[in-house]
Amino acid sequence: MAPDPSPAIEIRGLRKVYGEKAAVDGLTLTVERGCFFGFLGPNGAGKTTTIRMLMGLAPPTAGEIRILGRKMPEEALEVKARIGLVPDESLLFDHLTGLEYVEFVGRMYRLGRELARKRAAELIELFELDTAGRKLIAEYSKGMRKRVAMAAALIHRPELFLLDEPFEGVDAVGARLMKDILLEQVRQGATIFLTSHVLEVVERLCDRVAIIHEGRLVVEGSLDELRSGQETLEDLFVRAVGGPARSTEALDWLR
Amino acid sequence: MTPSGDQILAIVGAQFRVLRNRITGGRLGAGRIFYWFSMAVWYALVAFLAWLAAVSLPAIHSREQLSAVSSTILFGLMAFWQLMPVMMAASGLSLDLKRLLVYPIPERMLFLVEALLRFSTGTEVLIVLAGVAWGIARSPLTPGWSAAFLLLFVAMNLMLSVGIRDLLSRLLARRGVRELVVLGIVLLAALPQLVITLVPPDSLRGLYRTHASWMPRLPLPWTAMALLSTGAFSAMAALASVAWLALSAWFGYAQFRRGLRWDEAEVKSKEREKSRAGSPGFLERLCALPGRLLPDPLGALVAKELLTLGRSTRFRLVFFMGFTFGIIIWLPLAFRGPGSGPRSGENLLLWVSLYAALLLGEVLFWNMLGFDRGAVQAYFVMPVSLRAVVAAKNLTAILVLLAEVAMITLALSVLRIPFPASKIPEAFACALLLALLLLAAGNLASVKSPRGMDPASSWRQSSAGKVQGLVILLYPVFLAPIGLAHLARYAFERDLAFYLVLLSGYLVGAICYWVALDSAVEIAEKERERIVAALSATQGPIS
Repeated sequence: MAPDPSPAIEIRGLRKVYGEKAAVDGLTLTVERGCFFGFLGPNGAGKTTTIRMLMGLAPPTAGEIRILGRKMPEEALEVKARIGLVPDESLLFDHLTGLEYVEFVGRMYRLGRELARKRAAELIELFELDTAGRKLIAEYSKGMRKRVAMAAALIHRPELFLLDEPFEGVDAVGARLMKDILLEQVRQGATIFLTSHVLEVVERLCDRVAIIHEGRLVVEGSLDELRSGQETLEDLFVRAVGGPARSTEALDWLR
Repeated sequence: MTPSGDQILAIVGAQFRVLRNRITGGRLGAGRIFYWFSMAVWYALVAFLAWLAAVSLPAIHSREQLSAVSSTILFGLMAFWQLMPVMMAASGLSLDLKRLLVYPIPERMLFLVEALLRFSTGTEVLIVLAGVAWGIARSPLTPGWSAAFLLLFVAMNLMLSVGIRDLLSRLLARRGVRELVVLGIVLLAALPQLVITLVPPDSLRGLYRTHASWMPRLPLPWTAMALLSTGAFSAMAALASVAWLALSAWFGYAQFRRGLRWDEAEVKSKEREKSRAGSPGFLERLCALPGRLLPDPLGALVAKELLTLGRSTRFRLVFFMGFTFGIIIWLPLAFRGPGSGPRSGENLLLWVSLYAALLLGEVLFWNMLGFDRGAVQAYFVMPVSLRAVVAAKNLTAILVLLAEVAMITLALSVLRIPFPASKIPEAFACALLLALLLLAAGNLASVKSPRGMDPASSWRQSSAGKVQGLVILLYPVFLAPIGLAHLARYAFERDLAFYLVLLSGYLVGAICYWVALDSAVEIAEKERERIVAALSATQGPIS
């Protein structure tokens, strides 16, 4: 069978309005398959709202979303089955152990009990969470929670990963492992849509980036296209969204 | 096993593990023992009613009478199942859709699980219904198996309950609409009560006699299903039962689907935008007042507590219900209850005030740390004593309760319901005494078993029945000093006797409060890690 030529993510004129404020304002974006895509922006720029709309958790006010060639939210069920998600807000169940949770997610993706249990055990071992034994997720550190969320996102071998701050709180060893796994997934044809405030990580991993500011797309392209000279991604980011509006100089007592 | 069937099993299995892990992880403290004991008492009471139905129904000698009695019982059970969660603002178990929607689970499967979870609000009904079914099956007037038609009644109520819960959850999330909805429910609930209160009993009896012949033939759900289950088969009863079932299924599924597509964040954001616009509103200015009068940190803490409560959906709902719903449900009892006379209404203010304290219980007394759980972590690191924090929360609770009693007084005056002026200080004094006792127990309960709560949720997640179980056992104990004070006034025919007994209640209450406050602060200091962990923990796929 010929590979599906449709992009992994296709967004046209996406808009989400809360009250009178547009959290996402006319976003148009295409992410090709097999791409490691960095989706950046300052706090409150609309990144999480975009991911929530991609997952069908928040209905768009206007615009069109196609994921893996299928229209959202009309074909949400088919889309969800092919997506792996590491959300910023916790979807974890604190009173389950890591193993119980990953197995649960596997069964939600219809792997069947036996396969879900087998893969869950392997993933827990891979992410070095097996030493936590019977520990409940409530007792996990922030990094361990992200690792268990990543393990759950992998269990059904998704074609597209939506990762919201996946490295937040993860130690260097855990982060290296996660990066290796993600790069391997991209090599095998998966697409990764990543948001992160750690620009060094984005710089090292992503082929293409998009920066949104106040709900609008301000920059999009490959890193080589976007950077001028010796400019780092941080320089590019600050240039795109503007530097801090105020400084501590105004506050005498803080100097 | 179909893939969707396995998903349902996985959800149920995960929830079972969550409960198992919580139970095995927790300690069997006095609080938990008391909780299970109160549940046992409550369900024993319900089981007694079931037994009563099982032995009484076979003793009825005519089928018409059996159908009529069954119809009345079904009407009562349906009212309990559908209205009690609304009255107690307690929705019972429900799917945590925020966390399950990311998975490829078909909507109809989610609906099925949600409908089955509605059993959690109708456990008492099912127990009594089992007694009714047993009674009908044993009756010589019925073929026995006809009692199986009661399953239609159960299915209809499950689906209706899903629809009502979803509809109310959406409506109650909107400011302005929420208050209108509560008023609508109040008026709806008030209608039969007001008829009973205002229409003379003779006229009611005359009306009943005139219409008694055709009323049982009305195709109402409880009438139709009672006819079928007692073996009085007719095409009309069968048609009406199927129609009601189909209507409930359509209503439940339609509301559930709307709930899935509803973005609560959008609604909340609009509300926040409205409340941010312009200068500080009346609420902000009112909440800031105690903060100006009291020294810091107490002043700052009380102001913060008042602001947090004022902006919380759940608090606003129960506060509003206190002086609207409370008045309506106590009105007929005051004027038509046993021993009622021209002076019966004079205790209405007191009764409604005590009922309001019950409604506000979970928010103000029983789980004071759970409502603003993020702040609790901050209190442990701030240079402020925990005693001051607890005292501020308690002071806030008292201020809120006093405001509630004031609102009830105002509402009764506006409605021109007569009561002597002397009843106003009495209501305040009794409500304060109850608050003192509730705070003593609540402070301990709050640190012993803290639970994170969503202040934006209008509904309590426990079922209305469980709340009542606790009320049946605990509130009479706390209400005892107030009852004794009334008894003293009745015995000595003097108000002085009433206030003297109330004063002794205050002394006992104050001692209990100070001892409990010290213990609660000590426990919180020692077990801060456990408290923070318990408050930050989230639940399972069902919450």
